[in-house]
Amino acid sequence: MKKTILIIAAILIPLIGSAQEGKELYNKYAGKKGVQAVYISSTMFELMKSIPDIEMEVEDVNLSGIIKTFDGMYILSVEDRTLAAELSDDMNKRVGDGKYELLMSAIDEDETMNIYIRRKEDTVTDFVMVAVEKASTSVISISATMPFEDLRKLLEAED
Amino acid sequence: METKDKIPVPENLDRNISALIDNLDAAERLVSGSEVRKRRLIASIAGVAAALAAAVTLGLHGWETRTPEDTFTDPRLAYAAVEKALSTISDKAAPALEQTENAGRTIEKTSEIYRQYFE
Repeated sequence: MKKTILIIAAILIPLIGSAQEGKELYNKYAGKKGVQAVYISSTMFELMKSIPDIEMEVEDVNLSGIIKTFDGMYILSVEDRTLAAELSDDMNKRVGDGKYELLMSAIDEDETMNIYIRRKEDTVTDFVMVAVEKASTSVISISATMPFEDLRKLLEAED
Repeated sequence: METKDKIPVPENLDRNISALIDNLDAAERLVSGSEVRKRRLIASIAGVAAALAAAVTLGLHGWETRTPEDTFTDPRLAYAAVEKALSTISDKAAPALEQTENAGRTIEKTSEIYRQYFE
C-alpha cells in the first residue's frame, strides 16, 4: 500500500506543480460571468489557410501571411474585478516560470500592458499579451511558428 | 546471617510470582495488540483517502486540460476575430514603440551634439 501511494504521489506531484498553460487557463475562465472568451484551434487555422480570397495588408504588412503561421489562439477578456485580478495573478505565474521572455512593457494611465514571447532562435513559438486595467484583464495568447521579423512588423503595423 | 534473622518465605511464592508475570505479559499483549489494530486502521483510512484524493485530482486535471471547443464554426468569422486581435495588439504596442523611437531620436541628437563639440 505504501508503495502504491508513493507511486501515485510521484505521478501527481508534477501534474499539480506544473504551471497552468493555455488550455487550463482558458478552461478555468471561459463560461464564467463577466468573461468573454474566444478559442481558435489549430484545425480552424488550417481551415483558414484554405480561404482563397482573403488578403489583408496593413501598412505593407501581409497579415494573412502572418496568420498562416499560427497554430492556435485564445482570447480572454474579464470585466469582473475579482476574476480579473485572479486572471492577472494566473498569467503572472504562467509567464514567471522562466520559459517566457518579456518583450515589451508599457504603462499608460490606468493600463499596464506586457508582451511575452517564447522562441527557438529566430522563430517565435508563443506570444502572450496581458493588458491589466483597474477592473479588467485581457489576455491574447497565440501559438505559432512565426519568424521574429514578422512579429516586429506586426507590432509596428498601424490601422 | 544467623538463623533468627531469616525471613520466612510465603508458601507458593514462586507460583504467585510466575502468575503475576503471566498476567503482566497478557496485559501488555492486550494493550499493544489494540494499538497495532488502531495503527492499521489509521493506515488503511489514510490509504483510501490518498487514493480518493489522487482520483479526484486526476479527474480535475483531465477536465482542466481538455481541448476547448472552437468559438467559431466558420473559418471566415474566426479569421475576422484573429484580425481584430492582431489590431488590438498593434494598437496597444504602438505607444510603447513610439516612445522607443522618440528615445532613439533623442540619443541621436545628443550624440550629434557630442560629436560637434568634442571631435
